[in-house]
Amino acid sequence: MSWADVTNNPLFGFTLTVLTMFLFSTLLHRAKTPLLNPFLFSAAAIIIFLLVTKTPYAHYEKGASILAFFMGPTIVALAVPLYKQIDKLKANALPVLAGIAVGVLVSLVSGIGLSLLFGLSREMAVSMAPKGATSAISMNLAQTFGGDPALTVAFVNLTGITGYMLGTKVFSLLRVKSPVAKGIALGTTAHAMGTKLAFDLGEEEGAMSSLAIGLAGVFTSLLMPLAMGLFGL
Amino acid sequence: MARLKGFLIILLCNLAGNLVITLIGLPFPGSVLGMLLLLGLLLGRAVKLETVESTANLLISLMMLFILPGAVNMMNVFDKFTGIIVQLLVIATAASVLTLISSALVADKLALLVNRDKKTEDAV
Repeated sequence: MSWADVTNNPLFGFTLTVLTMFLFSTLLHRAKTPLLNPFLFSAAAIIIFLLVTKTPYAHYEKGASILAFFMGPTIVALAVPLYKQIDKLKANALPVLAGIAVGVLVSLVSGIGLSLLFGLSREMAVSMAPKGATSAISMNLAQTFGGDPALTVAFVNLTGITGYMLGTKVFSLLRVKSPVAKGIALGTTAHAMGTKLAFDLGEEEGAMSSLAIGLAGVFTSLLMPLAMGLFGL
Repeated sequence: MARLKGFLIILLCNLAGNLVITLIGLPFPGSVLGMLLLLGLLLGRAVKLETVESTANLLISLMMLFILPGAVNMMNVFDKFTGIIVQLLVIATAASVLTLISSALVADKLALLVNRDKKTEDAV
């Protein structure tokens, strides 16, 4: 029996993911800063483990894809906190919509603008642009406008991680106190990862962030052609 | 039993969302549509909060675990990042900060304004 026989089974990738997440969650449990977040360390640890043991990604994916599948039902489940906060949402319809629309426009323009400023290719800039939308939407947009969906998924993840790590820092520097504003900014910037942080802050933040995932996706689809036009792409 | 029923409702909403997306051919996640559908069912009292609450909370509490495989998937595009990794990190960080700032400030200032108006109305 070889190592490949062990890894070429859904149980391997599944258990490795749960085990790594558990280890770093326990280890970093007391860390007060999102900079030391279990997610980033777990992702890095799994990648290093796969590379060192020369385990093919395809083997890891057999189990990991089962876990990834649950992201769909989890997004549906976000309707529950949203429902509980529906009065707050109705009372803040204007700040919610405006916050998401402005955030999406800034995300698109800064993504494309900075990419071009750093001399990256058009393909990179287009793949970077929709990173604020959840991957199902952003991959499609990248494809439509001549980007590379695989790169977009990487940028979506990178954005999720940076948004998660910097969210609370930015809010305290700007003295943002409103739970609505925090939730909206996190969901608009960093989709699911941002929403995870939003739920850590409170249920109202989490509910607003859940809504922002969906609406940011809609706004990104609508505003992407405009942002591309601004840069003559 | 309640958890099982809740799980079934969540799955059916997801499935219905995917079905609609496939039928109309829109580039939009079926799960987000499913979320809006479940919200509609809860608001219309067709589904009781207690029925879906515990399953929903369980799923949401494990969310990090479900996103993690996507982040590991980044290893497959590393070769395209050779030589520009620093630039990409700077861009992603700067763009995230700018988005956080603009979105939070706009929502925060407007929320303040909306709630102040409401208080004035209440006072009158």
